[in-house]
Amino acid sequence: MRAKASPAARARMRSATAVFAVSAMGWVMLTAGYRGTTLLELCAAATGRPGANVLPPLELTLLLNPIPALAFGWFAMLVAMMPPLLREPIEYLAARGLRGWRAGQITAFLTGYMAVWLVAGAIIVPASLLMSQHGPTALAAALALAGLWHCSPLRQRSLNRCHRLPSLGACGPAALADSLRWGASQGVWCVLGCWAIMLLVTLCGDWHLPAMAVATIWLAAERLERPRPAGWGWQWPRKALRLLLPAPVGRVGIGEK
Amino acid sequence: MYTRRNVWNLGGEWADTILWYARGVAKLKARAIADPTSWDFFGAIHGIDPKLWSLYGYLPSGTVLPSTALQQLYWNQCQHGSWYFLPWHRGYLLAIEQLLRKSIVDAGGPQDWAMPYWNYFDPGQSALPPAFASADWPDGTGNNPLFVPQRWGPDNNGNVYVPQDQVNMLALNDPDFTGVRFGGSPGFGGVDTGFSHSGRVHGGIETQPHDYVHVLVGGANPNDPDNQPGLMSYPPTAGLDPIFWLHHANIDRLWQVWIELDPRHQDPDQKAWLDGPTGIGERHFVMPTPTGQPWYYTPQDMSNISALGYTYDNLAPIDTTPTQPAAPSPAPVPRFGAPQLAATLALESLRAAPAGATDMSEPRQSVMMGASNTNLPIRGQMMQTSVSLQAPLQKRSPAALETLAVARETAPGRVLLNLENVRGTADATALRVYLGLPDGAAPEEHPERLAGSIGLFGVKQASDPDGDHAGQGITYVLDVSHVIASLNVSGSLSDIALPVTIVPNRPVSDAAGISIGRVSLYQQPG
Repeated sequence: MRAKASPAARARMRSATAVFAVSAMGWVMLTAGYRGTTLLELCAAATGRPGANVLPPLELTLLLNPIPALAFGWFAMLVAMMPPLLREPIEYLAARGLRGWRAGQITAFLTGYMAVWLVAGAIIVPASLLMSQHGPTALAAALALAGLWHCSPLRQRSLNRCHRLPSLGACGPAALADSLRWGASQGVWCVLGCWAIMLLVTLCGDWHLPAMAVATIWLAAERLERPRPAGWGWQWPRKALRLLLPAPVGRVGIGEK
Repeated sequence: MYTRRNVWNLGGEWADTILWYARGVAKLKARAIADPTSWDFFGAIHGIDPKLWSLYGYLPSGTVLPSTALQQLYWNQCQHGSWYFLPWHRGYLLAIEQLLRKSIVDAGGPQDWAMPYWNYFDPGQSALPPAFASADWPDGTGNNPLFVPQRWGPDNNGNVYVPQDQVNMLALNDPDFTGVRFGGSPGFGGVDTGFSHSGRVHGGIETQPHDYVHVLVGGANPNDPDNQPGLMSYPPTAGLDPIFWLHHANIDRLWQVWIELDPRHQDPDQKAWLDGPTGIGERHFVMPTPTGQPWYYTPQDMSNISALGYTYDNLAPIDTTPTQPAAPSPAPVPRFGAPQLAATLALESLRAAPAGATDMSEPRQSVMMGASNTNLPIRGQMMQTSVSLQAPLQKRSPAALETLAVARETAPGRVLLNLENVRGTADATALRVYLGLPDGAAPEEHPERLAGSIGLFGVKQASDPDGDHAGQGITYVLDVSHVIASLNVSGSLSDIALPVTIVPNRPVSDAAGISIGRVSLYQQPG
């Protein structure tokens, strides 16, 4: 008979179920309502040359993608991509809060977190639109930037800070203020860690959704890693890789040669 | 079958077992650190801090370290704050014992040599065994390998002993090997650490007596207590002290005692425990053998000491009540099994267990009852705070308590005090925790209010923002059921707040930066 999961594992599964449900909602929002920039197709159709490499002017881009639509798209991206990274904080808030205050603390945390990311979006999305005027060159530049940033000590330090689970007020205004503050600080570290990947994803045009999926998996795999000393260098998500590709073990019993 | 024996019952201060241990240690100490069968290499398997090792003379200039590949395979491997704590240390102990036995046999010693253990709980045996306290061999020649200068004891004066009123075996009362990360009991052996190692919580036996004995035996240099911990006080140096192995042999023995105490005490049967951390993408458990070949092992390999070829000379059930005198109580704390607490708590709001329920394999979900303010610095000789209670710990008359105690005999609950996110840089610090002290009362005059004691073994590493724990320190969970019961019976239980007093073993400096993130109280139904 299969052993029951440990108490800690069951607690992880409860929070995982919640965050993946929210993430799924984000994907539904994206696939149902988000169209991205369809000007390539539009302009190609207008010139009678399907698939032609036509670069629409920025003004036209904004006309067909007004700011509220861009904001909604960015929000939907966050709802789809970020919840898996927040599983542990959500579990922590649920366990470390007093009855009657937990929902409020979780809401305050998510508010702080999303607020920071929305502000970051107000910079990343326009930057992405400007860069997209340069076609494939922009994508190459974003890829190089993401690679360089990935190797940087500041990024590793940011990833380390994302693992923090601080002590919070248990009830009252202090509980909500602490949770809001923690959510905002998590948002800051998360933005510092992930802005370059998010910029890259927004420049993937028709491949936007698959790029989002790959980025989500990569970021979730990185979240499994322990904090480590910050320094220059490429870091693989080794734990996730070991789970996928277990290394053979040469077994020698104690006392055997 | 090898038998590990009590070091105090071997028949003399330098009984054969101890003398051969010293000879074996001397042999291993003579080997270079680059040799996987050397004393220092084995110490680094537990952990290494090059700066402190150099200061203490373990890395003189010009020392050639092992290859990077060997360091990455073996070093900094110790498992703490995890349900792997006990099985990893069992393998570590087996490996050094095998290495020592080979050296001992090669030198003409007994084939059946086994590591002795130090049971500091036994009356008259709390002092450091004399062979470890002397700088000389029994013939008067110096350089006794069992002696280390960086072992300062609980008073930081070189007199090494374990104060028996500050250590306990309450962990043996925990019915479950593993528990939860946040709030409730972490279990006897510790928490399933799963995919994340941040937010470390120490399990029952790891907190007491393991951490506490480390800190009390190691102590700190009285001339620089914040920066020069004793070898035993600090994880990256602990494996260098020869007394480390006798302490861990006792911890290993207590694991077996817990198993034999109650048929319901079982090791985990989840694959994640059985297969060890490689099942979750982490490193292997691996030790060098005497031939230099790596020995890989899993917790499943460690779960049966008979199959591993050894036993202990004494695995008898033990009195697990705290050694300090308790206040008179109409509901006596039983010697074995979970303390009867349900009589004294307002459990009406919690789902009652059905009468006769005896399933101890399923810890029930805990509920938070209250918490203190956050960010509580520990400075000087005492820190006082209080846990504000959301729901009162309801008081009852003694007559009602007795009736309720009988009714709830088979479904006891527990009250757990969480000391969350304890941070600082002075591991050689021990904290005694008192509950419900009257205003102005001297803690030492109220041993019945002593809720428990913690040793900050590993806190410095856990406070590093770029370390494994993301700088959030260590969380300790103390079962305070017996103190709550005592408070209720004496009429001292408040509806509003529970006073908490923290008393360090020595005044804490600002530089040590010790703080508790928050003190919280949880109820965990039986």
